[in-house]
Amino acid sequence: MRVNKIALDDVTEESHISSFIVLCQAEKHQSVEKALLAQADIEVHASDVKGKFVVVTEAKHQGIIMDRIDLITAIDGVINTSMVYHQVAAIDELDDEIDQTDSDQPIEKIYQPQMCEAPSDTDAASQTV
Amino acid sequence: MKLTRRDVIKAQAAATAATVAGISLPASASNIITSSKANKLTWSKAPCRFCGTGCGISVATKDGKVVATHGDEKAPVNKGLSCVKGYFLSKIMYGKDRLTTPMLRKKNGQYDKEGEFTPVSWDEAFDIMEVKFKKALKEKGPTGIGMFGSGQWTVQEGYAAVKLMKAGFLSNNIDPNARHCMASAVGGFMRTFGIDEPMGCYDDMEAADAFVLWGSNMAEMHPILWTRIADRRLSNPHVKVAVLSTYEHRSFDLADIPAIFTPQTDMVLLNAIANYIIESGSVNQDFINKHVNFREGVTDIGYGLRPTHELQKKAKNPNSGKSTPIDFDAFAKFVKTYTFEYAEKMSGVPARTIEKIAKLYADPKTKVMSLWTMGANQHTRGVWTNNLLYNIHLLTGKISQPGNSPFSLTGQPSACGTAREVGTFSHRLPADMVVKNPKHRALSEKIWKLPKGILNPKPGAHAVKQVRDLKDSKINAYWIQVNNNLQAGPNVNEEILPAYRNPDNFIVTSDAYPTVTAEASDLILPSAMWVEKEGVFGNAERRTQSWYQLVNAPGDARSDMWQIVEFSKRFTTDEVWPAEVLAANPEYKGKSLYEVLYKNGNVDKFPLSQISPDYENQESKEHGFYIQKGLFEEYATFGRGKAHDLAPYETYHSERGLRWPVVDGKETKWRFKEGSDPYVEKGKGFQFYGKKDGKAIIFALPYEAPPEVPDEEFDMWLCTGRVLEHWHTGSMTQRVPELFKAVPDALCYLHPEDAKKRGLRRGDAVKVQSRRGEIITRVETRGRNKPPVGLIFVPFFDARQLINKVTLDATDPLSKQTDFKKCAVRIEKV
Repeated sequence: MRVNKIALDDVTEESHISSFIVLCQAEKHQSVEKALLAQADIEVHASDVKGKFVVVTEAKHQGIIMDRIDLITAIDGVINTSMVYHQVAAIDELDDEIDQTDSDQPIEKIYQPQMCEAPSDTDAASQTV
Repeated sequence: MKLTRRDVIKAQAAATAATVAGISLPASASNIITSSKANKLTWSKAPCRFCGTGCGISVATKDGKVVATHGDEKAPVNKGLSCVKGYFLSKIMYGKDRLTTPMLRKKNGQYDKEGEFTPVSWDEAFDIMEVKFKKALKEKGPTGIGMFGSGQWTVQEGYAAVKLMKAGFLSNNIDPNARHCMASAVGGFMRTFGIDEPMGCYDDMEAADAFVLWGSNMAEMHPILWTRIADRRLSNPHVKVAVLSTYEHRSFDLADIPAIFTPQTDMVLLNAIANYIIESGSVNQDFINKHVNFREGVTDIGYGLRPTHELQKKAKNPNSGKSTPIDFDAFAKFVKTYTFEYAEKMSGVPARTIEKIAKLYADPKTKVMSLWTMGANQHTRGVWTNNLLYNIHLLTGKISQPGNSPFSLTGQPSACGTAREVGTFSHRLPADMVVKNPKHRALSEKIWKLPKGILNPKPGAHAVKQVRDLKDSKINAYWIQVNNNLQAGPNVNEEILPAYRNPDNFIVTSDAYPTVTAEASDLILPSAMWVEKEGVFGNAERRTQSWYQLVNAPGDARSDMWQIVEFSKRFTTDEVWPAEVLAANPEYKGKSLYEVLYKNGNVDKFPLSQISPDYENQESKEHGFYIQKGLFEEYATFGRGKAHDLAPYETYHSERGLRWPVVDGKETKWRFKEGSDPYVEKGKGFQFYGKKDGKAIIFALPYEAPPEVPDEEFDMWLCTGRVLEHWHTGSMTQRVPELFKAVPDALCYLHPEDAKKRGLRRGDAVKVQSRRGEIITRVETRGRNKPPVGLIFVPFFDARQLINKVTLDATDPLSKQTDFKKCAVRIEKV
C-alpha cells in the first residue's frame, strides 16, 4: 500500500509577498533595527519605540519566508515574530506598471477590509483594492 | 514616481500588519497611490479551518482561487494575528494530489475489493454504494452500516449526517472523530454540570492572575491563545503560569512553576490540591452550600478494551459511571490520604511545587484559569480527570467569573459546534439530548416531522467499537468522511487495517487528499474543503461563526453535505423503515429519504432568493433551496429556549461569531452566573441549570493505575501528540511544502541519559516496539520536546511512520475515548 505522497510543488512562476510583526525588547530597539536592515530581502516598513517592526518580504518559495522568519526570530532581543499577511501572485505580473489615473487615494483608505457586513451588501462584498 | 503591482501588494501587506500592530506607517508609505486594477482582490471573512480555537481570517480570492490571507484584525479571538498553519491557508486547497473525481477499486471493469483505483462518475460511485448499503441493511439491519464523521464537518454537514443515519437509516452507528479528541471532556461536563461546553470564554485570559496548564502544550497547539496568555503574563508581573506535563515542551519557556509528572498521576495531584484546599480552610463554604452536591463514583471500571481482554475481565465494575450521594465530610475524608508527600511519591513532582500550584487555587484573591486538552481527555480515566479539575474550581467557587475559569480547550474546528452540538455521537441527539431518553426521541421526532416512535433507542457503536465491529463483520458498509482514522486511530495493525480490508466489508472514504485511510478503502469520494462551501463552525468558547462559499472546489469534488443529501435520494422509506411504522403512517409510504429528511418543510423552507447574490452556493442551487440556512435553522430549533440559543442564521454572516446562548441578540460570555447568563434566575447568584436542582457535582474519585505500565520487557512510557506545524495526521498541512519542510520526519524524542544507556546518538535509526507493533524512526535528544528519563514522545502525523501501530486501543470506559498518551514500549538501535 502506498502511503501519503508529499506534493512538493516547486512553483517557480509564483511569488509570495508576506508581512509580519516583529516584537523585540524595547531597550534593544536600535540594535534589532540594525540587524533587520542588514538582512537580505527584508524591508522594514514601520516601527515604534515600544519595540514593534512591520516587516515585508518577497520570495519565490514560501519555504524561504519561513527561513527568514527563523533568522529574524534568532536576532538577539527579538521576542517573537507574528505572521499577518500572505499573498501569492504570478511573477510576470509583478513588474507591471500601475495606471495611476483612476484612483488617487492613500492605500489605507482603499484597503479597509469591511467584509460582508450583510449578505446583500454588494459594496462590501465586491470591495477591491 | 513609477509604481508596479509589486509595490502595491507590498504596501498592502505592510498596511495590514501596521493595523494589527497598532502603529502607523510613515507618510511616504501612506502616499503610495494605487489603482483599482493594481491588486484586484475580493476580501471575505472565514474562520480558520485548522483547529478549535476559531481564529478569524480575511480571505482574498482572484480568478476563482484563494490567493491571499491574513489574520482578521476585527476577529476578537486572534485580533489580526495568525499562526503558521493559518498563515498559509491559501495553499491547503492547491496540493498537486488533490482528489477531483470519485475512484473505485475495479478489476476487469467491475468493482473488486482487490482491484485498482479507477476514476468513476458520481453516478457509478453512488450506484455501488447503494447496492452495498442496501445489502448490509437487509442482512443485518441498522447496525450493519456505520459512519465515521469528519473534523472538518460544518454544523450543517454534521447535522445532515445525523439525520441521514439516525432518522433515515434508523442507525445510531455514527460517531465523529471528536470521539478521539473531546469525548472525555463531554463526559466530564455532562457528569459535573449536566450541560456541555465551557462556562467561561477567552476573555478570561485577560482577567486571570494565574494560569495552570494540565498536560496541555498551548505554545505549540494553541499558539494564538498562548500569545494572549503570554501578553497577560509579560505585561502583569504578578501573573503566574504553571505548566504540568509528562515531558518538557515549549510552553515551559513561560512557566513560573514547571512540573513534570509520571503519566496518569494528574489524578493524584488534583486530589492532593482538593485536600489542601480543605485542610487549609480555603473552601468557599457559602458557594458549596448553595451550589454543589457531593457524590462518590463507582471504581475499578476497566479500560474500555474488548470484553474478552484479560484486563477488562478483571475489572469489578466495567464501564460503570454510577455514583452515590455523599456529604462534604465524606468527601474531605476521601481525599485526606492525598497528602503532598503521597502525591510527590506517586507523581515525582516535589511537594514544594505541588504546594505552589495548590496555593494558586486556594488563595481567594487569585483568579485562576485551568486549561487542558488531550492530556486530560485521551486518558483511561479522562472523564474522571475532567471531574477532578472541576472539583478544585467548585470547592473554591472559582468558576463562571472573569478570570476564574476551568477551561477545556478544543482540538478540531468541528468538535464544538458540529460534533458536540448537533448530536453526531452514537448515543446523542441534537442539543445535548440522548437516544436512550424517550422524551428526547419524541422531541426530535416532532421537530424532524417523523412518525412517532421511529427513532432507535439503542446507542450505536462508538468509533473504536465501529472498528471492532468491522473486523468482526458486524458492520459491512461503512462511510468515513474526511478523516484519516487509519493513521490517527489506535492499534492500526491488529484492529483498523484488518477491519477495513475485511472482504465482507465495503469501505467508502470521502476526502480532499489520498490519505492512507482513503487508500485502504474501496471507494474514494473527492470532498470540497473550507471556503469551497458555505458553512458554520463553533469554537472552544461557544462562538458560532459562518462563512460563504468563496471559490469552487476543483473538478468533481463536492462538499460532504452534498454527498450525504444526494445519497439519501437513493433510498425509500419502504426499503429502510419498519413495515408497521409505514402501515400506521401511510403518508410516508414510498417517499425517498431525501423527501422525508430534507424536503420536509423545514430544511427546504428558505428560497434561493435568500442566498447572498455576491457569493456562489453550489449545493443550494442544485437542490433548489437555501439548504445551509434550512439545516441550520431546523437544528437551532432544538436549542432555542433551552440555554443553547443561536441567533438567526443571517446574523452570523455579518458578525465575527457570537457565543451561545444568544438571547435577545446578546451573546453570553459567562454561563451559570447571575447577571452574565440570562438563564440564571434572579437572586440565585449562580445556577448550574444543567442539573435539575441547579447544583453542580463534586465527585470523590480515586487514582487508578493505567492499563499498561513499563516493566522489564517494555521499559519506557510512550506518549504521542502533535507538533505545531502539522494538523493531526498532516493530510492537509503536508501539502504545504514549507510546513512539511519545517518538521520533515516524525522523530522519537528521548532523554540523553536514556539514549546513552542504549548506545544511541542523535539521528540514529531506532525501533520503537510495543506488544502490538513496531515502527522505525530517528532519535532526537535535543529537540523542542524534552521527555524525562523513562518516557519517549513520538508525534503521530507521519504516514510513513505510523506510531499508532504501537499504541494500545484502551479507552476511557465512560467516554470511549482512546488513551494515546501512555503505553509501554522498548527502543532498540536498528
